[in-house]
Amino acid sequence: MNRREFLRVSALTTGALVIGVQFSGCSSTKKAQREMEKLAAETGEFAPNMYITVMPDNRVLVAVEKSEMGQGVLTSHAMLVAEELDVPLDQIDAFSADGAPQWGMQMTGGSTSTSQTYIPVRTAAASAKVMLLGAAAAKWGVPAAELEGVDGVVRHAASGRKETYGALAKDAAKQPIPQDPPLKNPADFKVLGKKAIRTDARAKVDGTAVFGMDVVVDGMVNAYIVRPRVMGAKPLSFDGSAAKKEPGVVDVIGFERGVAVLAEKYWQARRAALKLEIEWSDSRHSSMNTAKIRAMGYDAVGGKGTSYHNEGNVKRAMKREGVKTIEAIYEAPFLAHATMSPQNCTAHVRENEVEIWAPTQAPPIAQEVASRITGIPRDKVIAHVTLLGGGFGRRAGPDFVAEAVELSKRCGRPVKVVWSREDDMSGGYYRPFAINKMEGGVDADGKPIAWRYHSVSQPISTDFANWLSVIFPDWMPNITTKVMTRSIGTMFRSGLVPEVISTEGARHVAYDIENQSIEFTPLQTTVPVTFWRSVGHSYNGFVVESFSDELAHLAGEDPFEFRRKHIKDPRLKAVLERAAKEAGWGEPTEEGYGRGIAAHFSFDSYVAEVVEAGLKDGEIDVRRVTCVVDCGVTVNPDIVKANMESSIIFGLSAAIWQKITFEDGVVQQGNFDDYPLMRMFQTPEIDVHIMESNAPPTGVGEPGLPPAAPALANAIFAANGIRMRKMPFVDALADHFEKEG
Amino acid sequence: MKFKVNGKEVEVDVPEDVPLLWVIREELGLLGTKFGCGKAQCGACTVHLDGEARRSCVTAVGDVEGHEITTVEGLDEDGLHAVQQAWVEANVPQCGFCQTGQIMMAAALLAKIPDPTDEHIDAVMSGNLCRCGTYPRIRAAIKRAAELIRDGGEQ
Repeated sequence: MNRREFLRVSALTTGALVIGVQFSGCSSTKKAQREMEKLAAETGEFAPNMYITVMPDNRVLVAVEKSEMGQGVLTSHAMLVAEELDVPLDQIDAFSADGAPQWGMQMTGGSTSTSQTYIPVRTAAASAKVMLLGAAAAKWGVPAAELEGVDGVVRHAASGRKETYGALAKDAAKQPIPQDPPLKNPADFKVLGKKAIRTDARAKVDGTAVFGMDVVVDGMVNAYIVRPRVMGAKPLSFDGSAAKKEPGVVDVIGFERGVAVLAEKYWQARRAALKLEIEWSDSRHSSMNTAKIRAMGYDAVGGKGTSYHNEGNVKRAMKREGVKTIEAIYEAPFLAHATMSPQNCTAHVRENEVEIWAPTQAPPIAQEVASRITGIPRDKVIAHVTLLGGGFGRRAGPDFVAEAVELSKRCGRPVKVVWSREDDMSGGYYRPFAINKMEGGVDADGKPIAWRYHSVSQPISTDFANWLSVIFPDWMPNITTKVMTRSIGTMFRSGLVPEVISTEGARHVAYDIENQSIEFTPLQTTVPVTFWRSVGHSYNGFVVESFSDELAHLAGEDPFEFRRKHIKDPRLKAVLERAAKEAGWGEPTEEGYGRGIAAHFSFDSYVAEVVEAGLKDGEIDVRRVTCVVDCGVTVNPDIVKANMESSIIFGLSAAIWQKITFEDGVVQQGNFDDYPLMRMFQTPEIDVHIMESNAPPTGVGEPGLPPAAPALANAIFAANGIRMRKMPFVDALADHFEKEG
Repeated sequence: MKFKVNGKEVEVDVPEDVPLLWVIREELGLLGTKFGCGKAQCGACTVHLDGEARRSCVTAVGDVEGHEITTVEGLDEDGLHAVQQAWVEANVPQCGFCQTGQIMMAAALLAKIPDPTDEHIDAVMSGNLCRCGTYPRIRAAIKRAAELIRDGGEQ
């Protein structure tokens, strides 16, 4: 799609067109009808709803209200339209829509893209097809039932007449918008449920794909911000005179985030930044250090937390005759997202409007933040969504957008801000740490009869409360918005609102255990935290599936058989059994290697993984991962597999090596040398199997992650009896070998 | 200073120590080469210097005076290099940000070792990071590209 088309369609999605298929009601539908006819008469484009535009040249533009971060959402939308509209996939241009209130929340996350859009997008496409067939029927004087749409062409078999969708566009726009068009029977699917090549694959291999930092806007300046070493410190004073003399430098601006050098070229800004002299303020973060946070966490976890679930009486059960008990504390550190593209944003503040180009997971948040900074109303803030270059939860944040908007407001030109890798690593919004105490027991028959979970962690909802105002309607007065946001924040901080995110993956115990206690204690630090791929599950998966393994060994049972006996949900049991089978559970492994298994339900999907691993020269060597996923019906099974492969490698990287630590408020990690990602030579063989299912589609972006760490920990235990209860595992092993000798 | 980029002579007037990465992106407007780390840890900036893979983020532009640079845009004049073709076939890219660097590295590998083993792939490709974990598919795509080249594809 060329840039002109892109701009025009972007304008459409911010305009008054209502989604005809979702909102019935006389006045809005009539208005939608009128707009649609007007557009078709003027341009020959047929746009019956916000999702679909049939162009006169027969290309189909599909506006996607989700961001593409690698999870394949542009491709899945194109496929949904290809199926119901009967258009070849390569005639479809799918793109992320600009921020617009008509889309609703317009946030990408929680592995919800497919489940949220499966029916609405198919309905939008089916609706367009009904209108195209109706137009041809009216034109040719034949019943619509005698017509079919094939490969973007309407055909009348009896007479041989045919016409492209593009040629029928103007007539189709005069047809009534159907409220409830029939969807295809899955038995008739030609596209859905099969591998298809990603619609963005070509652009991503030939260098034409545009990521946030590739945006170029006329008159743009490039900004590099020198940031404080201690989070939260602000520039008290600075001397920018030397920097200003450097070639290409346009201005030097001190503000909340640091001191920004604005130059014609980014490389000029980076060079000039070296000439800055800055005096930094103190910061409330400066007393923050990991040892202290750990000590506070361990202290708190020894007590009692707020109860989230209680069944029976854990204390009494653990004291019963013949019951064997075990207690374990599992630890998970702060983690950075380390998206391959560092944070960046381009913004242009003009007199009465703002235009933003951002790799954002939530354009409404970008619009809200820009509105707050400039005083310009949200409906005059245009937020374009670029390819993300990795998301994992980091790109919902408002911080990188706020910087670009603030700087553009001050200098009057479009500003592109690009973070360095070091800025990105130490810039906050991490996955929170968690200290988790587990207690449990098995009876004389080896049945698990008691299970207590007490987690101490920092809730992400407190930070998120600050962004909550995006869901408030435009007409709500600012003062009300501020007060409500503050109240919600207070509620979260006080623990009054259930901390459902922090305990997800642990609150509902997968096993049939009579006595359960699930408790949580919030521990607030000054570190900014947020969603990180699989969120609470990212450490709770490790905790619960390591502990169930420890209970199995306590009972003297095979860890697979133990789980199989006691897992309640048949779909979870099914993936567990299939994983064991596909992995050859029980077959001999090489000397020094073992297998570990884990099964976890998250984001409505069921995943089981078997890891084959051991220690080689004291280092973890992962040989193979077998993954079985039940995510209901699939749109593109190859992309489901890719998401599982991705989650596994992401999860193993964190489990084995990663941590973010603080010393006097300074983040100790800066680049990939001290925050390692798994590399090619360390990558195991990964086999993914998808369970056949007709259930509605559920999440695939995140569910592959939670079982990876515990399956690996369980494998290392099986291999050599070393139980790792701390992530990253390199630290757990270091502790273990230090103790040994 | 003068040098060749994708077969064309270019002239830039910037200090000698400006990293080649930024000259490519900002002076020449070729945006396919990416910035990921700035210290040769991730490989997203990989280009070819006289046919050899180099990390452009730590290569001073002064050092390439009189030499030939190839970026992803110039990997194949007519469309897709065998590596790029294999990449698309295998649905390798996810977020895509690291992929042009991976492709440049893989193309350099195949130019030297037309039939790479897993050990070759491990040794050569481990300098290129992928946060989305596309390594298993990269491995398969390199082997497929080797096949395509052998069977008469673009080299």
